[in-house]
Formats: sequence, C-alpha cells, structure tokens
Amino acid sequence: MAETTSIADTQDIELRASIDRSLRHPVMFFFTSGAVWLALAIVLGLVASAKKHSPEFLECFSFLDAGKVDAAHMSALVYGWGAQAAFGMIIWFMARLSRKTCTASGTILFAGHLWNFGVMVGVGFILAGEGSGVAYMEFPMPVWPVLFFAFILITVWSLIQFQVRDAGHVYVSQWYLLAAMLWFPWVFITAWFFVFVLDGNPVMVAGIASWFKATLFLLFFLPVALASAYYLAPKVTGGPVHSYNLALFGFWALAFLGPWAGMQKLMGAPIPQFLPYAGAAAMVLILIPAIAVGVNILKTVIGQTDVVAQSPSLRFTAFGVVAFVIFGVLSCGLHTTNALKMVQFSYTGYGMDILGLYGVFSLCAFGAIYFIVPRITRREWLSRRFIRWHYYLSLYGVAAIVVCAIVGGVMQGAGIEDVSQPFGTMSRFASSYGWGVTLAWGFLLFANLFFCLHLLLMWARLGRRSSHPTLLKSHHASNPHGPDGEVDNYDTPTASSAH
Amino acid sequence: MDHTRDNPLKRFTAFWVALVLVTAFGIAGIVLGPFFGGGDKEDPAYTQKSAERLGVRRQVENASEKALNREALDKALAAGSKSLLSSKPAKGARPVPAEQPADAAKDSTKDQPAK
Amino acid sequence: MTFKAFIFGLLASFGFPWLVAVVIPFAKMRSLEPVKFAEGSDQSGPYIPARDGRVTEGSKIYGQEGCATCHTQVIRPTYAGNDIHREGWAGLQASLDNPDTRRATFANDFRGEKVAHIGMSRVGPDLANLGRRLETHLKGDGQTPLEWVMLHLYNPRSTPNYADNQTIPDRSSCPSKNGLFNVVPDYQGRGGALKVEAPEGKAVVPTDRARALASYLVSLKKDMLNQPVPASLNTNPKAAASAK
Repeated sequence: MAETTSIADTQDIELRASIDRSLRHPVMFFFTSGAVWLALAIVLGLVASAKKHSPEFLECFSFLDAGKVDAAHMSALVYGWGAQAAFGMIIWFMARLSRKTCTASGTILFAGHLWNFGVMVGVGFILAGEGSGVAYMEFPMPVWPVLFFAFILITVWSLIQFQVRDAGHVYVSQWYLLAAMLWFPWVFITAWFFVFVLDGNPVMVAGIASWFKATLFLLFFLPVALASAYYLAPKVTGGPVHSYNLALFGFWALAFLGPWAGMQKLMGAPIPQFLPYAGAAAMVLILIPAIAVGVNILKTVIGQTDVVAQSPSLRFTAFGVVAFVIFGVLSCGLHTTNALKMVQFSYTGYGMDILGLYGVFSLCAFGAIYFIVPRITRREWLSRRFIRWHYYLSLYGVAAIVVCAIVGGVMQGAGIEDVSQPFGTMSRFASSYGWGVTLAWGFLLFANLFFCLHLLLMWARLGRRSSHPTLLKSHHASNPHGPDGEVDNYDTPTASSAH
Repeated sequence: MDHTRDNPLKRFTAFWVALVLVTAFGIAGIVLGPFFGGGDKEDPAYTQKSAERLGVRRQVENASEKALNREALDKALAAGSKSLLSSKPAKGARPVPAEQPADAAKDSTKDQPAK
Repeated sequence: MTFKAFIFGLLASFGFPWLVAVVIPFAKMRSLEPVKFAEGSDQSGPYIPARDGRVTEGSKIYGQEGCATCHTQVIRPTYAGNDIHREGWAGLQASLDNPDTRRATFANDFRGEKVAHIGMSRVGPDLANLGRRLETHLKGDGQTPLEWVMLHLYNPRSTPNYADNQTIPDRSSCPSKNGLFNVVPDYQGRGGALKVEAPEGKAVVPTDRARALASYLVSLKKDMLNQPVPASLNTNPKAAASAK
C-alpha cells in the first residue's frame, strides 16, 4: 500500500535509519557477546545446581567445585550477560528517544571489549580460587576499576545525548534509563570503596555487599527492563501508554524504596537492627511499583491480544512485566519477619534472584533484542520456530525455578527452623527441589542455545532480507508492525488503524 | 540539529556534568569521609586488652634497666677498644685439612632420614 | 518534570539511604566498644572470644572457595530464628563439665576477618560453632578436629556428619575439595599424609591452602570453654532468673 508521507516523516525515517546505522556495531557486539555469556552462565548454573544435590558430579575438575562454580555462574550472568544486554538497550533506546545519532561508537566498541576482558579475567580468577572472597562481589579487587572505566566510556555518550536532546516532552523510558545510568556507578563506587578500599567491621562489610547485590538489580537491571517495556508496549501496539502519571509514580516509588533494600539478608546478624528491617520493608513495598508498572503496561496492551500473540518483542516484554508483578507479590510475602525467619538461608533467595534477573530483566531484554536487531542489521529474524522454542522453554524454565526454588526453599527453611528434626531431614527435603532447579536450568539452556544461534546468524548478516517482520503467527491480515513497506516504516500514523 | 540546544559547547558541558553526576557519591565519600570516622580504624577491644600486656612490658623494661650496669659496660668496652687500637695485625693460623680415613664407606643407595 | 528536578529528586532519594544505611553505620561500627563482663562477676575486662589458628588467611580462603554459598556462620537471636536452640550450634548446653555457654553471634565474633561470612544458604549446617562441636563429638575417638576437617575437605562422604547432636548418617552434599590436596610419592617417615586410600606408593598431603582453611575451621567456636557468657549477651531467661 503506497502512501504519501510528508517531508517531516521522511526526515524522521532518515534520522532513525542514521541512528540505527551509527549504533550498529556496538549494539550488535553487546547483544551477541552477551548471549554467549548467557549460554556460559547457564551451563555454569546447571553445574552449580547439580553439585548441590549430586556432589560427585564432575568431581574430577577441582575448578568446578560447588562454591566457586556458583560464584562464577552469578558473575557471568550478571556482568557477562545482564550488563552487556543492558548496555546495548541503554545506548539504542536513549539514542532513539533523544533522536541523536551516536558519535562515539568506536569508543563504545572498545569499551565493550574492555568490559568483556574484565569479566573474563574475573570469572577465570574466581574459578581458580583467587576471587575476592566477599560473597556477592567475587571479582578480585583490580577488576572493579576496569569495569567502572569501561562503564563510563559506554554510557557517558547517552547522558550527553539526553542533555542535548531537542526540546519537547521527555518520555518515561528516558527517565528510567537516565536513572539506571546514574544509579549503577553510585552503587558500584560505594560498594567497591567500602568493601575493598576501607577497612571496616567485617559484619558491616558483609552488609554492604548484600546491599550492593540487591540495589544492582533494583536500581540498574530493573529500570532498564522497565524502560524497554515502556518503549515497546506502545510502540508495537500503536497506542499510547495507559497513564503517564502512573508511570512517573511507579518510577519514584522504585527510586525511594530501592536504595534501602539488601540488608534483610543479614537479619539477626550483629549490625544495627534498623538496617535489616529497612531492607525487609523495602522488599515488601516493592509490590507498589510492581503493581503500578503491571497495571500500566498491561492496560496499554489490553484488547490487543492478537498483537501480543504475534509480535515476539511484545510477547517477551509482556511476560517480563507479568514476572515483575509476580516478583513483587512474592517479595511482599517472603520478606515479612515470620517468613524471613524460614527463608533467609534457603533456596528461596536464589529463586528470587533468578526470577528477577531472568524472569524480569532477561525476558524484557529478549523482547528488546527481537525488536532492535532487525532494525540495526536491516535483516529479519530467520526462524519463527527458533523464537517460539526460545519463548516456551524460557516460560517453563522460569516457572520451574519459581516453583522449585521458592517453594522448596520455604520447605527447607521450615525444616531447619523445626529443631525437633535433625538437620539431615531438611537437607533430604531440599534435595528433591534441587533436582527441579537443575531441570529448570536445562530448559533455559536449550532456550538460550536457540537464541544464541539465532542471534549469531543475524550477526553474520544471514538474516532474511525482507520487509515483512518475522511474526509468531503467519498469514495474518493485519500487521502490528505497520503496512508492508520498508523495515523502518513501522510507526506511521496509519498503523493503529490497520486493526 | 537544533543549534540552540545541541552544539559542541553544549556537548562539552554535558560531558563534564555527566562525569560529575556519575562520580557524585564517590566524591561525597571522599569529602565526608574524615567527618564520619575516616583515618585508621580504632579497636577499643585491642586497646583494653593491651593494658595488661603493656603493664607486663613496663615491668620487664624497668627490671632490665635496673639490672643493666652502664658504668661497668662502658669500662669494659673502653678497655677492649683501646687494646684493639694498639694491637698490630698478625698472621693468623690457617685451618689444616684433616686426614681422609682409609676405609671411607661409599654412599649407600638407601634413603636416610635427615638428621 | 525538568532535568534539574529529576536530578535533585534522584540525589535526595539515593543520598539519604546512602548516608543513613551505608556510611554512618559503617563509620560507627569501625570502632565498637567491646562487650564487658558485668560488675561483680568473676571475670573482668572486655569479652573477646579468643581464636587460635590462621584466622585471617583461612577466612579469605573460605570465601574464595565459596564455602559461604552453602554454609552460614551466624546464630540469630530468637526473634529472627531458632538457631540458638539447635544442638551444638550456639555453644554447649549446661552439663556436668560446663555451664550453659550458648549465645547469639555478636560483632566481635569475626575479629581478624576482612568480611564476615554470614552465608547465603544452609545447604550444609551452620559452622559458627564447628570447632567446639567437633571437640565434643570426637572426644576419646583418637581423631583430632583438625584431622577430621582435613578428611572432610578431601572427601566429605567418608566422614560421619556432626551437623547437630542428632547424628543420623546422611550423605553429605559438600563438594570434595580435592584441589586443595596433592598426591605425592610416599616414603617411610613422611609426615602430614591423610589417612585415606591412595594409589600404591603415593600419599595424599594437604597444600598450605588446605592447612590454613582447616586451621580456620577448627578455630570456629562460639564459646570460650568454662567461661560464662557475659550478662549482656546471655539471652537465656533461666540465666537471668538464677542471677537474681
């Protein structure tokens, strides 16, 4: 369907195309290397989980014993996959929303390699037994400044782009991205400084490391995921966000609650009592921004279930938002003092971590990647089937982890608290749930092997040359990405009227 | 490009604003550090436990100070150094290698534990 | 919302918890007043649990080997959990040989360590009182706690479990830290070899890393034997009643 576009529309399209072109290399690098790290992190997670119930698994490799491989798994997941996916999303979304091309893509690409190098060295040192020895911050001391320097080189350009944006309305995703770009270094510097540089009371050092772990998720990964959800939901459905004010409310609720979280992991430990209670309260109240975001995004896509069913980006994003609501509900229930007594030292903590990092952040990241990659490579995804496998296996995997780790953790904790039962009884209860977690990682491994392969093919410029986006259902009359035409002709005003 | 909002000068300023914002809490930590107990970590427990130890050390020092006879020491040193000064260098005796025993046993192949 | 308003809001919403939850507690806890025995009690001076062993080095290795993933080292007060009631975890119950020495963890329990290994989860038992628990269980067995720990590190499934007093033979899920040991040629009079099966002519000896870690583990005791818990740390209601 040929249509007349005005001069302004044409300029807009050209600007978007030039933004995509300027960011092609750094963004593809971040997504692709992130996906490879994800596959590695999942393999390590599988081994770590197996070791908890079958300790003789791979016993001959001493670098793979339980404590070290668990630390390597989390570090690879957070810094290898999570951070790189977040960087790719941040720089692309900020450039598009501020309508500025990227002038420093070479620097960003160099910094990306530096980041990768730092993470590789860090994970290697952890497996060799030369980590820092601080739980949740296992990279050795010298790796941290390298990562920080790389971070600045990656994100400062996006901060500049925001400040020199054209006058006009600032969209909620931009506030989330801006906040994430500031919160990460604030949390990072504070944790590194107080844990590694200063010499403090050992219990307080452990408290700050726990604070770091919680705020890294709540104040970096979560805002980036929400920025992506707020961008994609209206973009793909063609309608506006349900309520801008609710979006701002959700943002500020997160901003005020997030920095308090983390020390509930030290409930009962000899630190000032208000700290773990504040942490627990913050985790209980996380339900508020979760509901705000859930209502907002789901109301934006409500009534367009066919669009959600067809569009890979929107399906993954919607699932990620639902996972955030579930996270909020579970967090509220599991951090009351009675629940915390039981689950403080059980599998539950790990289940919540994975629900957050995989269920919320990674699924929103996949949604963003399925949206962004065709635009920067100017090719479409090759296989509907790969995307479907990725989606369903991720769904099963996350659900299995939530059920097994969280429910199992509650049983495990109840068992330890019951002093009439010997310790061995509890550990027998727990090990069956441990098998469930290992199985879940198996699902997620398959899901991400499909994803990694698909992404590598796109990176190798082997995607479909087509103007029809790859949708999850075929032969649909109405196309949620707009009428047939150029790949980037997707949000012309007539799109929403096509339904 | 809207030159009133986006020009090289604005970008330059924006870069430094961004850098300051990013390192804000690092700077705050360095600035506030001395006010909130910066410097060396005190350890009142160690200080209190040390009281006893330092008392013992003081006793020992006092006792050895008392036992030390400074005048006798000075006299002995003076006498010794005077004689050293006046003596002439003389040929010393060289060590003489000992006779090898005729029936020295060959090294045995058995491992011997070190003495 | 303007950029300035946003930045101000962000700095305030982050800065207040930064100051109140991180900086000030950290600064205050750097120089803690030690717990003292009550006036008129037999003991005087500060109560500092004495730890013998390679604490600083062993603690670092404990963290590097990831032991904190599956083991905790904190006995929570009763408002936060039932740890104090589990046999052997918080100290020793009153008996003919010793008074009731059970107590919750307090700040000076981690002296000498850079970071307190509070622990992530309890796949394995809490280790805060491991040294004392081993001494109690191994009394008269001819095996020292250090030997038990070395054997446990080498092959956890070869040693009986002393997770608490209800010793039910359970398969330990502790990973075997065989990377901390070397298999070397054996000779008569070689010391320090583990009493385990080794290939012909070989012996299993611990590396220095294993020795430091074992020394640290054996030093983990919640009580100073035959010394009572200071009144301010004694949360046992019976103790308060008998003190009157």
